[in-house]
Amino acid sequence: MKKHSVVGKSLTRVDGIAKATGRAKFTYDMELPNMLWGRILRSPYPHAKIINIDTSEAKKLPGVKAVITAKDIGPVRYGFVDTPRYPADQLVLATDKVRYIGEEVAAVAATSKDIADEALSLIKVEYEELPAVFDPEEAMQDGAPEIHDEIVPDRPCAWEDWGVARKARSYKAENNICAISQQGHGDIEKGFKESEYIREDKFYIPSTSHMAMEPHVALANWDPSFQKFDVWLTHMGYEVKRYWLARALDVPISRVRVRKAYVGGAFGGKIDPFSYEFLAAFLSRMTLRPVKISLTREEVFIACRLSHRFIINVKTGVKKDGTIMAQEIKAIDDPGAYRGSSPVVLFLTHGFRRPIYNIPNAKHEGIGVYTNKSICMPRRGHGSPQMSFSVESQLDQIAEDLGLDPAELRLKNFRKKGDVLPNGDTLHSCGLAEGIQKAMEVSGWKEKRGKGRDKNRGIGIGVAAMFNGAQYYPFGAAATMKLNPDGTFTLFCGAIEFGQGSDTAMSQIAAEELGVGLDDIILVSADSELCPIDHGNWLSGGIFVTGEAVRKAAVNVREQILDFASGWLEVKEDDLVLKDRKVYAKSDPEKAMTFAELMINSIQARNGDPILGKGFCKPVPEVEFYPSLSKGTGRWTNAYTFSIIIAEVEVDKETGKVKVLKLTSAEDCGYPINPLAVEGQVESQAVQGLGDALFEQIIIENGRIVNPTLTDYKIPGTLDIPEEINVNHIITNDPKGPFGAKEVGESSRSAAIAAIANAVYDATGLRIKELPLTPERVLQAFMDKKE
Amino acid sequence: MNSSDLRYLMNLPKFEYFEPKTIEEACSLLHKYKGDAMVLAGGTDLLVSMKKREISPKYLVNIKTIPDLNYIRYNGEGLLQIGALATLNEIKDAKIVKEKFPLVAEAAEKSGLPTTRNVATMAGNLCNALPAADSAPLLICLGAKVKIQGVEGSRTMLVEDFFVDSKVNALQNGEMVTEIQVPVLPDNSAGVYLKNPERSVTDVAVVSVGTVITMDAKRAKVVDAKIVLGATAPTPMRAHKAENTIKGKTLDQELIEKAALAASKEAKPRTRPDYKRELVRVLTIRAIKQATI
Ligand SMILES: Cc1cc2nc3c(=O)[nH]c(=O)nc-3n(C[C@H](O)[C@H](O)[C@H](O)COP(=O)(O)OP(=O)(O)OC[C@H]3O[C@@H](n4cnc5c(N)ncnc54)[C@H](O)[C@@H]3O)c2cc1C
Repeated sequence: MKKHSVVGKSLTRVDGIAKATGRAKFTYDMELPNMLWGRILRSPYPHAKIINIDTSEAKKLPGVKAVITAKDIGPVRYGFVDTPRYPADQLVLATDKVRYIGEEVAAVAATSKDIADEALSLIKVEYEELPAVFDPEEAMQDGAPEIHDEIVPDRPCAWEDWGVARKARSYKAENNICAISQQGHGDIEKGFKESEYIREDKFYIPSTSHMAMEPHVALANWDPSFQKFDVWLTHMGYEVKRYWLARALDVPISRVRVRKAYVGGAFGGKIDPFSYEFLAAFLSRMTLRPVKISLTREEVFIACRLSHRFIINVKTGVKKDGTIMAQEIKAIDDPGAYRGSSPVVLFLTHGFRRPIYNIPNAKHEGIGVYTNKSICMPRRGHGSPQMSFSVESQLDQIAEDLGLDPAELRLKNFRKKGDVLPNGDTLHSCGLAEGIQKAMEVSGWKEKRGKGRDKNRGIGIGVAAMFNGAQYYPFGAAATMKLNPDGTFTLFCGAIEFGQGSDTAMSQIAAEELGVGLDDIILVSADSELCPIDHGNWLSGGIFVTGEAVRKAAVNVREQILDFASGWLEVKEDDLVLKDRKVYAKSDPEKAMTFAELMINSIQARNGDPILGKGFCKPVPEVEFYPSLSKGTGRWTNAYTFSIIIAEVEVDKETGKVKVLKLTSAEDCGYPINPLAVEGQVESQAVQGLGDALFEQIIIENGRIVNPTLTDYKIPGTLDIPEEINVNHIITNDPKGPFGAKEVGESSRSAAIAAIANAVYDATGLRIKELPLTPERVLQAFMDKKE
Repeated sequence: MNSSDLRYLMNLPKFEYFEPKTIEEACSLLHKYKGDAMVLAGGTDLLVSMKKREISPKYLVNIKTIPDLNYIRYNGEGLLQIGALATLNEIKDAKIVKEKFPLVAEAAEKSGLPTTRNVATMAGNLCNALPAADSAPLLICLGAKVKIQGVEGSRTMLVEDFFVDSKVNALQNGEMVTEIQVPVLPDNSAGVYLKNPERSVTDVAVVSVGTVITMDAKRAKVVDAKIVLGATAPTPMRAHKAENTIKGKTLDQELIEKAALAASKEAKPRTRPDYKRELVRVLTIRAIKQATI
C-alpha cells in the first residue's frame, strides 16, 4: 500500500486553536448591530383547541417590535419527511390547535430578551382542552383521541421539488398511525419451523435528548435591498435548511444564505427544520432588523426533538449450535405529536442491522403512532441504539440459554466481505470477524466471562453497524478548489464542522492528494453561498461522500498541475512528483517549479487559466433515484461501518448502581483518515452509550416532560466514565471510500449500550429489558428475583 | 407556556437591596418587610430559585456586609461556634474543625461541589431547609444548635427542631441565624455520613444516612446512637426506632440488620417509596458498621 503523509496521521485539528482560545464563533455567541431578540410562546397543554389569541397588550409594551401568530403567516407546513406518501405535518405556528406541551403558538421580537419574555406573558391565549393520548398502544385503539385531521398538501412535496415524479397525496392518519414499514426476506415461517430454539422478548426504550453543548439558536437577517436572507444556524447541513426556509418564507432558494458558524455539537438533534428558525426569519422580515432566537436548555429538551421512543418485540429462532434461522420484529415507534422521522427510523431500525448477521429469513414490521408528546428525530445512530439494545440483548440471552459463548454465537452468524444484502447493497469491506476477535483478545473475554459473579463483576458484548451516507436525496456532495498565488490551495466544501473533526479531515484528504501540508489548505466550509451542493453531515456520509468529492476535486487540480508541468518542464507526467508546494521530476529533481510559479505561468500561457478544480460524489452512484422507505427495497448505501464494544462492569447489588470499569472497542471505519479523531468519535460514543445504558431518559407525565433540566436529566459525569476506553482500529480499506475510509460517527454508541446491558447480565444474572438501567431498576430487579 | 413554566434561569427579577451593617439592622429590615424580605448569604440556593422564578422576594437583605459574622472558633468549653457567614470550604479546612470536629468537616465537605462550597454557607444550607440538605444529618446527630437573633433578642434551638417542613425552617418574622453551635463528640464515639446520589457526581442524594454512635469504654456495648435520614421525609429525620434497637446492646450483624429494617420502616418517602426504603436499609447497615469499626 502507498505510504501516506497527511492522511492516516493524528494531526491536530485545524479549528483547534480557535476553539481552545475561545475565538471560534458559534451562532449562540453571535450578535449583529441593531439586533432584536426573539422569544417563543409555547403551548401549556398537550392537546387543545386555540379559541383566540390576543396580542394587543404585548404589542403595546415598549421595546416590542413585532408579535407574530399563525394569523400573520397562515398555516405554513414543514417536516423532516415530506414525501408523496407522507406530506409534511408540522406547522411553523400552531393554527387551530396545539398537540403537545411546548408547541410554538406565538413569537415576539424585542430589543432585549427580558422585554421579549415580558411580552410573552402579556399574550393571552384562550384554549379549550381536548382529550389527549400519551401511550402509543392506546393511541392505536379505536376511539382514541384523533391528533391530526386529514393533511391536504397545498403544494408539491419536497421530493417532487427534488425530482421525484410522483405527486403528493393527502394523508389521513387512521388510528393515529403516522408511518408503516414492512420489510423482510426469505420465508419467516419456514425459518421458525427449522429452528430448534425460539425466544421472544419485548423491550422498552425511552426518549433521550441529544445533549449538544450549544443549545438551538437561529439568527436571521433580511436584507430588503437584495431581498435576501442571511442566516446563522446551529445545524448539520445547509441544503435542507435553506430549502425549507425558502419554501416557508416564499423566497427563491438562492435568496437564503446559510452562513458558516461553528456548531457546538449536534448528534442528530439539529437536522430537522425548526419553527424557531422560520420565526427568526419571519420576524426579521417584519422588522427589517436582525432577529436572534436562542433557546434555553429547557426549550431544547421540550421542543427540539428527542430520540425515538420504541417498544420492540423480537422473536428469534436458532439451531442448537447458535445458527440464526429466522428473526421477526414488531416495532412500535412513538414519535410524538408530529411524524418527525418516524418513517425513516422504522426503516433504519432494520436497515442498520441487516449487514451484521446473516439471517436467512427475516420479517420486520414497524409502525409509528402519533401521541400528544414532544417530537422525535434522529439521535446518533437513528434507531440503531434502540434495535441494537433489543436484538443484542436477546442474542446474548439465547447464547446463555443454549450454553454457548455469546461472542462465539455472534462470530458464527456474522456476515463477511463480499456478501450481498437482500436489498442489493454489497459489503465491499467488513471487519466484523477480525474486530470481535481483536476485542475478545484485548479485553480478556475468555478469562473473564461468567467468572466475576461472586465479585459482582461482568463482561458483555455489543455489535452495531452504520450506513456511509445514503441514497435519499438528489443531493450528492461536491467540492471546488483553487490554486492560490503563494502555492497554497483553497478548498470549498459544504461539510459542516460540528465537533466531529470534519474541517480537519477534509483538509487532510485534499492535502494528501496534492502533496502539501495541512497548513497549505485554506478551507472554506459550510457556507451555502460559497460552497457547492452538499448532502449534509448525517447518515454518516461526511467522509465517504463529501470526503470523496473533496478527494476528486484535489485529484482534478493535481491532474491540471501535472498536465501543465509536464509541458512546461518537458517531463512525462508519470515522472512528476508533487511535494511541498512544488512539482519536480523524479528522475531529475532539478527540473522543478513551485506551485506559485506554476500558477503565474499557467495564467500567462493558458489564456488566464488559474487552475480551478472540482469533484463530486453521490452516495450510491449506481442508482438513479429513490429506494422505498416503507418496504426497505432498493439500494441504500455503498458501504457499512462495523463496531464492536466489550464492556466490563461492577454492580453494587445493594444499591443497584452500575459502574462501568472498562470499554474495549474494535472499530472498522475502513481506514482512519485521522486516527486520533476516530478514537475521539468512538470514545464519545462509548460515553454517550454509557449514558443511554445507565442514566438517560426523558420522563413524561401526562404529556409534560418532568425532567427538562441538567439537574434532573442525568448524563454521565466525569467520574462515571471509565478510565480506560480502549479503541482498536480494524483497517479494512473500503474500495469505494477516500483512501479506504468509511464512517466512524454513529455506530459504536449502539454497541456500547448493548455491551453494558449484557455485562450487567453477566455480573448479576438480571436481564433488564427497559432502558436505562437505573439503580432503581436494577435494585428492583434484584428484589423481584429474591421474591 | 412561557418562561416561568419552563423554569429556566432568567435574569434576576427586580428587588430592593439592603446592606445592613449590624445584625440588629438586618433583623429590623426583616421585621419591617415581613414575608417580603429574605436573607442573602452565599446565594447558591436563593439566587438560583429567583432566576427560576420559584420565589421573587421584594427585598434582599445581604448579610455579608455585617462584620464579624464570619468566624469558626472553639470556645474552650466544648463548643464549636460557626458564624453564619463561614463558607462550607472554610469550615472544612479550618484547623480546629479538622482536629477536634472531623464530623463537622465531613458534613461541610459532602455538601456540594468544591466551587459552590467556596461561597455557600452552612447556615444557608440549614436555613434553606431542604429534606436533602447534606450538612443537616450529621449536625443533628451531633446535637448541634442554631443561634437565632430577632428584634426582641436571641434564642438557641436544636438543628433537629429547626427543620419544620420541606423548605420551611423555624425562624419567625424578623429572625435570622447568626451561629451554629456544635458540641464536642463524646469519648468513644464515631460517625459517618453516607449519601447515595444517582451518579458518581455530586447529585442531590436520593437518600442519605448520618450516624453517630457512642460505645462504652470497653467498646462492647452501644451507649448512645443517633441515626438521621436525609431526603426520605419532608425534613431530615431521626430514626428513633433504629436508634433504640441498638442502644445498650452489643452489635452484631443480626442486630444491625434489625435496626436498618426499623429505619427503613420509619422513613416516610413521598416518591419512589420501595426504592428509597431499601436504600435507607442498605445505607443504615453500612453507616452503623462504618461508625463502629
Ligand atoms: C451547583 C450546586 C450544587 C449544590 N450541591 C449541594 C449538595 O450537594 N448538597 C447540599 O446540601 N446543597 C447543595 N447545594 C445547595 C446550596 O449550595 C447549599 O444549600 C448552600 O449551603 C446554601 O448556602 P448559601 O450561603 O448559598 O445560602 P443562600 O442561597 O444565600 O440562602 C439560602 C436560603 O437560606 C436563607 N438564609 C441564608 N442564610 C441565612 C441566615 N443566616 N439566616 C436566615 N436565613 C438565611 C436565605 O434567605 C435563603 O432562603 C448546591 C447548590 C448548587 C448551586
